[in-house]
Amino acid sequence: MAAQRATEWINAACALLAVAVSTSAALLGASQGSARERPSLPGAASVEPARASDGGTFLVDATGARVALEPRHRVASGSLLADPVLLALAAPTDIVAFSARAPLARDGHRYAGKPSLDPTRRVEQLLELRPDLVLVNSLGESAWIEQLRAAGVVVFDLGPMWGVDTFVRNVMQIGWLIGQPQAGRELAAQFRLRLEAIAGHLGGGPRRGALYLGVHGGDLFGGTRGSSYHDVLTYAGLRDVAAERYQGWPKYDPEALLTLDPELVVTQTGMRAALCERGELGRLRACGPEGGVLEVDGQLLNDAGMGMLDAAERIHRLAYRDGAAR
Amino acid sequence: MTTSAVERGPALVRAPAGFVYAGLIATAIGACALSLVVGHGDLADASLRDAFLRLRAQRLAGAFLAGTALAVAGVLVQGLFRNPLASPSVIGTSAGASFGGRVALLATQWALASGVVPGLPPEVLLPAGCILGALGALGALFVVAEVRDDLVVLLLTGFLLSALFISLEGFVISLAQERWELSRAVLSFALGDVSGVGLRQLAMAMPLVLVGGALAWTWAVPLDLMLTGEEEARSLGAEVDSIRRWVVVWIAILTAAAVSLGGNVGFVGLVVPHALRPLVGLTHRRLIPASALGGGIFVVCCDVLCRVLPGRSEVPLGVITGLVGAPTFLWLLLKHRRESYAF
Repeated sequence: MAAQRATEWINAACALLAVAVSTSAALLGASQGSARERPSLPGAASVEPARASDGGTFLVDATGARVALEPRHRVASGSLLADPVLLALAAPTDIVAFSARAPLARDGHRYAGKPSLDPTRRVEQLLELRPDLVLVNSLGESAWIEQLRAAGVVVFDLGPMWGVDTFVRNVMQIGWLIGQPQAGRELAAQFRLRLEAIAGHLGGGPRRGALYLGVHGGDLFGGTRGSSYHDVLTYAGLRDVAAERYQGWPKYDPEALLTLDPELVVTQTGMRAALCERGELGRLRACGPEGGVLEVDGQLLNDAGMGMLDAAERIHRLAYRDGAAR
Repeated sequence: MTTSAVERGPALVRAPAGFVYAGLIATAIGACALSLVVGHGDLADASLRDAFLRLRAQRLAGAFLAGTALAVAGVLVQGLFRNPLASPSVIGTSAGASFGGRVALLATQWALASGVVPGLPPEVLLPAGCILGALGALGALFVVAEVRDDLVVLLLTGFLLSALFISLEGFVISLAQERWELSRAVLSFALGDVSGVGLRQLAMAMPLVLVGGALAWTWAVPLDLMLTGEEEARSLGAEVDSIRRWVVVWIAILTAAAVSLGGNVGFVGLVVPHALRPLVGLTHRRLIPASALGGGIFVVCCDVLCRVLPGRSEVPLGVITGLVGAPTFLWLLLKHRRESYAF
């Protein structure tokens, strides 16, 4: 009986000890990370750098890490959004790599001649390029960023991609990081001006109601307030009918879609049949004679960076100038 | 089954245990060396060699620890339920850990955006969530066990908890779908991966695996007695309630550590003990250390495969363990059936 009680106590003590040591490791990690600051996510006042106590300047990234502003001549992009911005702002000799998806982009030929790699799964190849700055969108997976930082690489996490505001912010941040702040500001301002000009002729007049929809298997996925799809629709001169009820990337059921019943549906090429020939969804106004299903190239529509401009122009033309292409 | 039968093990035992352990240790050394040598970077580059080796060593440690934890948990659960087809997931703690990890992914985004937890490294939140999730599941299991302490009730409660946590996971995934980047992170976690393991994750998981493995071994003899059946074990002097309680605790702690390191890595707890039983016998004193080594070797080798298979990105670890584990398990099952192997 006594031996049994001792066994119970030993097990209880060991279990508590193991959990306590594990928790201490987590808390130790927290104290080591205390140099991090509140991240510069959308909503913060500015992307202007701050001054450190040693007189240097720095930017705070989406994980709250400080990145010093100093000359960078070996910049690697791990972000599909940063690829075209780097091409526009940096000297080609200052770029050592583009993201893994760069060759698959619509304008993939522009990235030829440079390595393209996935920093999340090809950390060693990235290190071999000896970058002095790596730009990424961590997308919620932060362990590999810590790996790169532990290996001595300066990583700037551009944060989530939530449409025009985050992209414009990223453009200005990249400008600062590569020593071209003025060029970054101009590119960001130009991008926004060109977007605003697309539907400028509509003024305060009525706008056609529309909704972004992706049909994948039996699922209907949307993209509204807080996503690039919403911004593209808005700058294309359309009224996003989903924005009042939903945000982000909602999943619709057919009833919700029939309730929203937009005049126009913006979707990827080839999806009109999957939508309008699907039972009751054929009753949607967009599938009828007075509405329209605007099919746009998937790569263009899914681009949450520079491609938003081309996507908005294309959708505007389809919605207002070519009639509702059906 | 008598104790001597347990000692002797099945008829397939052909080599002395010493040879088996020596073979496992040699294989483990080989697998670890391979894991350090194989990678995308070139070790001939002297300026980067240290960085590459550090990264590979962390990844190797993560893979080995996850494999060890899952295999030992597999031995424990199969011994406790006297069922060689049981896997660590049957008591619901794997699903709890997985659910906790997914909640942590959501919470990380929220904490970063709101600045509620300034200074907390986001890479710590995921393993912490896994451990909390597993402990939560364990707590729920014990609440039920307090009401009715019975092995079948424990098993059924485990299944129910798994179903509950899988449903809750589904809810978390549906929330994550509202953010494209989050849904990608949640999917990546579900596929299993040790490529991002760093020192902090190792520091969190290592005490759980080491203490869990060592304490699991102290329950080896009582588990041998449990193989004879609960009533028989009780008549032989085993404290069945205590065995059941503490074995479940160590299964939970080991699976929590494994999920916090590698996400959902399947088949390890099922295949490794199965593969080793014919070599070392049924006795848990031999099977637990052999499985600790075997599990580590299995996951390290699968992780090396992830690196060498061609592709724009790496094939996820969970996919490889499934692709290797499922046919291996089937082969073992058919082979053992032919050779009249019985648990």
